Amino acid sequence: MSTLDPAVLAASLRRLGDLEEHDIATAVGEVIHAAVDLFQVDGSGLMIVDAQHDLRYVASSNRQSEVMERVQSTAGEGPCVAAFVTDGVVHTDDLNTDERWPLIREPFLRNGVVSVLGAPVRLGGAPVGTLDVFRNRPYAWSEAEAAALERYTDILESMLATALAAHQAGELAGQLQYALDYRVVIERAVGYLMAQRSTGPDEAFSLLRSTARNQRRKVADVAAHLLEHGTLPKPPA
Amino acid sequence: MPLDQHALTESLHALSASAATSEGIGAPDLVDRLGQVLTAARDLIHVDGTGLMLLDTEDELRIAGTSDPAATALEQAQLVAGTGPGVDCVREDRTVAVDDLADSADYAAVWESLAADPGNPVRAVLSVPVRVGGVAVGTLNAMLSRAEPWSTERIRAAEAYAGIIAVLLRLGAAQRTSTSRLRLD
Repeated sequence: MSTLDPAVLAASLRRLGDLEEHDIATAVGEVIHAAVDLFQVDGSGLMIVDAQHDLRYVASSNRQSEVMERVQSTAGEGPCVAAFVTDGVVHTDDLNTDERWPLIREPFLRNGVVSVLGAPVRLGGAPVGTLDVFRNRPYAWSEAEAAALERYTDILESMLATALAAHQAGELAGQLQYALDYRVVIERAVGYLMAQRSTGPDEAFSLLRSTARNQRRKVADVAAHLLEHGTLPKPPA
Repeated sequence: MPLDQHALTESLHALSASAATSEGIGAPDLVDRLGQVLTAARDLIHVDGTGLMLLDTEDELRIAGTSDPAATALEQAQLVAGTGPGVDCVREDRTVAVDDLADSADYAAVWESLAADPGNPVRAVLSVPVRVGGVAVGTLNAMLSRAEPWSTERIRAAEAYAGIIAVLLRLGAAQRTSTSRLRLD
């Protein structure tokens, strides 16, 4: 059994507190980078939802990961978007043969992103973003890896929650608080559309999002309208 | 001995999962969890001992913990000599791999200090930086009682464990400064 000296540890923590603890972006970046070694992957990244309920690039371990995130952010589809919408781990073992997300396949493959594992990042039990890892070749992700990535996102939750509580989250704070404030209405609207149109959560969310985008409204406003009136809002004449 | 990649992966995943709690991490937990990382790193990288040295507020390197007496001897010898793989690792923010201390002109002082204590043999030493905020704040040291080259996979595994230590330290430091709770409902 290893022995640790609490006094030395305390001195180190004091030092870290003085160092730059106010920078949540650096802290998140380190957790994202550590994931590459931990999962022995070729890249990793974090996306957090914004006021339009679009997943936005926050951090990545390398350029490929950044491309992976920005492409999904623009297209509004992909394994990480699906992980967020379904609030569960989503994987693709080989995008060469996986046809679920036609808009992102070509740019992903061109950038060497071939197999992807995405897990929701939650705050207070609700998804606010996704942590994603990829390999540059086909790879069959195991159940154990999926479970491990999901647990690893708990570290991010812990970090984000602590930063928010200490008012150190900076620009991310507004983004995260929005996700927390409006999650219920958006989840209910997605459920409503799924029942009304016999569709899956991905499609329902995509419809909500595209309606908001076309009408330059917030997703939460569109969701509230849907729940109140039973129909999606019409564009102003 | 080749690393058991499966066991290594399981170990890294389990340790990183245990680092995470929605309540953050308190100092007593942190002591336990860093101890678990040192023990797991020793067992999974197949070394004879591991040690953790951390910088304090005065920029002095101090021994935070070790897995075995030989690792303690190595850390103490470095602090006494004021040099060593771990010292250079932190000072220069890079991984330092020494296949045989007895053969290392740079660390002759460490070797001499250790040679005076034959009960705790140390020959090969690997020191990887523990980075927080983009800078080295400490070093994870692994040692063998025999001379042996450090393989790339062993170095990468040690760096992964150092990554977990960094995450744990980061969480511990954040917890110290956290004062109120997030509005979740």
